[in-house]
Amino acid sequence: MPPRPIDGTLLKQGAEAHVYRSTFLLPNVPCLIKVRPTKPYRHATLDMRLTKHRCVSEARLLNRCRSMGVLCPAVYFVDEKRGEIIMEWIEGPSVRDFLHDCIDGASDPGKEEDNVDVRLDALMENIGQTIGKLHDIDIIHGDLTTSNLMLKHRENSGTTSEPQQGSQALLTADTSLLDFDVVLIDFGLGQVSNSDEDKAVDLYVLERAFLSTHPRATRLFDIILDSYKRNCLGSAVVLRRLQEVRLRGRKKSMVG
Amino acid sequence: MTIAIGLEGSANKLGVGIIRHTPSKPAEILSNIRHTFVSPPGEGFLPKDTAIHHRSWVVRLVKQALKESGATVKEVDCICYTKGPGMGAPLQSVAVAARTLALLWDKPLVGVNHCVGHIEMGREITGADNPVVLYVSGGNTQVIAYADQRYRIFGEALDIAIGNCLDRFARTLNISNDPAPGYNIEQMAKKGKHLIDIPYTVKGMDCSFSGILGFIDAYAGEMLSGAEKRDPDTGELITPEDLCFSLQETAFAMLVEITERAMAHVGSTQVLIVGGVGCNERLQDMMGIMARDRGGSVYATDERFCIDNGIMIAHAGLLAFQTGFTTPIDESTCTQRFRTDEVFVKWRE
Amino acid sequence: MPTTLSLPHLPSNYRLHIALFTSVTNAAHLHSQLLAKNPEYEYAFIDPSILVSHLQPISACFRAIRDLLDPDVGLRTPNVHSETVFSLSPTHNITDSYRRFGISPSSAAVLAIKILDTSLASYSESNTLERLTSIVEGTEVDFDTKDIRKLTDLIKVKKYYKLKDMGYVDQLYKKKGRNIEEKSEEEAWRDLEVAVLGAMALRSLV
Repeated sequence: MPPRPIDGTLLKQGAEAHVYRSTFLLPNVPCLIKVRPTKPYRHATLDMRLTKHRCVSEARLLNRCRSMGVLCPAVYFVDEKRGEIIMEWIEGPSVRDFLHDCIDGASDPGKEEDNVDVRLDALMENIGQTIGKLHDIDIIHGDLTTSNLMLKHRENSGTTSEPQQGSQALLTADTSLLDFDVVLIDFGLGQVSNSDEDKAVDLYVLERAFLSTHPRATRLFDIILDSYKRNCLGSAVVLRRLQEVRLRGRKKSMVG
Repeated sequence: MTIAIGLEGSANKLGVGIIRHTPSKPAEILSNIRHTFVSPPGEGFLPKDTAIHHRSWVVRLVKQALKESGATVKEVDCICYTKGPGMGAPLQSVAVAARTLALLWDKPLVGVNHCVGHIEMGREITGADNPVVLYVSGGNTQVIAYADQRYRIFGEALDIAIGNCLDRFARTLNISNDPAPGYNIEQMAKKGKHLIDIPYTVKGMDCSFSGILGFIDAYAGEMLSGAEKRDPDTGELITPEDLCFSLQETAFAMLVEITERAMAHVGSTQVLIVGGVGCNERLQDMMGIMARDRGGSVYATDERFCIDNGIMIAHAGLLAFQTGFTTPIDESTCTQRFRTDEVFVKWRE
Repeated sequence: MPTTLSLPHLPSNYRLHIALFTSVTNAAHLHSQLLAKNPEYEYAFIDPSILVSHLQPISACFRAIRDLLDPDVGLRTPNVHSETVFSLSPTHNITDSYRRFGISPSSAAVLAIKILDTSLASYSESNTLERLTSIVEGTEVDFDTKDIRKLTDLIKVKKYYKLKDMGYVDQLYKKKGRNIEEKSEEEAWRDLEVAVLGAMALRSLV
């Protein structure tokens, strides 16, 4: 299938997909277009099969997730033959960027550090709750990192509104963090599964991503786990499993 | 100026190499010889038989390597040997030989990680300074990048190694082990043209080959027992050559994909392929296309260095030795399990 | 007033002409002309009670035009207008899609859409709009989400788009006796809108 030129602004050119910002149907409906480009090193038949399969799998997961009540980008349009998904635009900083700004902000002499901490705690609570919900509907994200968690201002004006909220606005705004929703993005490695092992590994991936972010992250990740424990229905078994996963590490020992 | 002798025998190749390092000059290979234990078609190499092979050849190989190198025993600074990972019995027989030489000649011993040997030799030969490394052999499938004094494993095969998958597939199809099953699969794949649908399993930067092996073993089994398999589009018969082709196209695409993910992750455009499967030209081609798309290039070595050899052990051992590292004789054990990221890489920035 | 628009990611010469009517009196006639395949009546006549927002029919047009222009895909129905009605469906059943999302002889409200290539010499905007607003006999209202939602039949929408799992996780938590914050009316509509758009988008993947 020949690639189609995309009318939009290229935001990211990753190993797997190119991501554009554009509009869907009307000029006031912003969207994100994710395209899995042809890989010329692969046999054309295999390439087509993989592109289609991954595109379909991601679109289905996004739709299931959003529809069952966990926030993620809604699917607007799928062209699986060309590996394109048009999805809802999520305006807001990633948790990764937000945390970075928090650290920078906290070193500002003028800023109330306590205030930042309260906001961070509320955010961690919210993340734990969101992942708990995701696991309660048997979806495994597969790549939980702070970059794949977005913060979106809660708004009530439907499709057409598009508040320009950067992470700075989020930090300095008078509104409490409870006005922000945690939105999961990038389900490219996700799957439907009710296995405790898969859920535990999902948390473990996030734990590693968090701990490599910054030194205060241990405390923050504990809040996430505590919130997950209280909110997720299947949390007890998953958290027990997480202990095992941690001990084992992701990497098995190897034989020459 | 320092000289090291390296002994490798972690699998079915016994290799002895002698290398010379001179400050601010490329390493000089004084000799690099190898003898391979070849098992009959349809059979793998058993640890016991392989160890017997190594024991009966090691003295001859050391003598010949010394002779070819033109160096004297007196000039040798250290004896390097493969500490692991690998098959227990063959590793032990070579470790015994190394210890014997160390005592006999009164030289320090240096235990070397086999994978680090491959990586350092690949870097030395190709001039790739900081590549993402794809290490593919009979026992290992790893995507590695250097950071903070370690070769860190970013991705790997979660079950069996790619080389093991190829070897076992060759056994199913009764493909000869001479000179190597992977080489014969590569030659047959050149004549294949139909791509059959084989399980493709990549999870992030990890991959899995057991599903492929199970599938293609079953498929080949049906074919060998007389079932006609046809290509759904052309109606033509599927041949063993098509199976080799499909296996390579699918398994190598997985390897290139996880390598590309790691390159994107660490922001590198160089990729170095090492290990026995790294000789495969189709794998090198595919990797080259991917690397070019990312504005970089692929580095690979020929069979002298790709396939297990003594010179890489000598080279990596000498790098460590020059930083003051030695392995005391009472610690000169070997180990079947020895992760690449356990080695403290003191010799790199 | 009818709405005219061209869509992003499609050639700009493809234009939609859309008008929404209530108190419609000639639905039976329109329906019979569709069955008779009268080219004068080649419009997408949609039953607005299955619509939850103005994006929903526009999205159906987007897909119909995209499939029309894509030599690798092509239309599954006779023309881009029937394809628009079919594109509202979350399944591949064409007959069902006409029955569920198209008008019936008794429809009291109709959304009419005409898709035309404005680069053709025969194209005239005024003629097109005049014909669009006269072909349906009824009261024209604004084509916007507010007016559409007055006509929505939620039970039908949930049934046709198979939305029984919507908000599953909140229901699950409620059953366990948790206090779940009620969504605002606007949020509930937005959830419904994206669930419907998603079901339409995933049609090809069913």
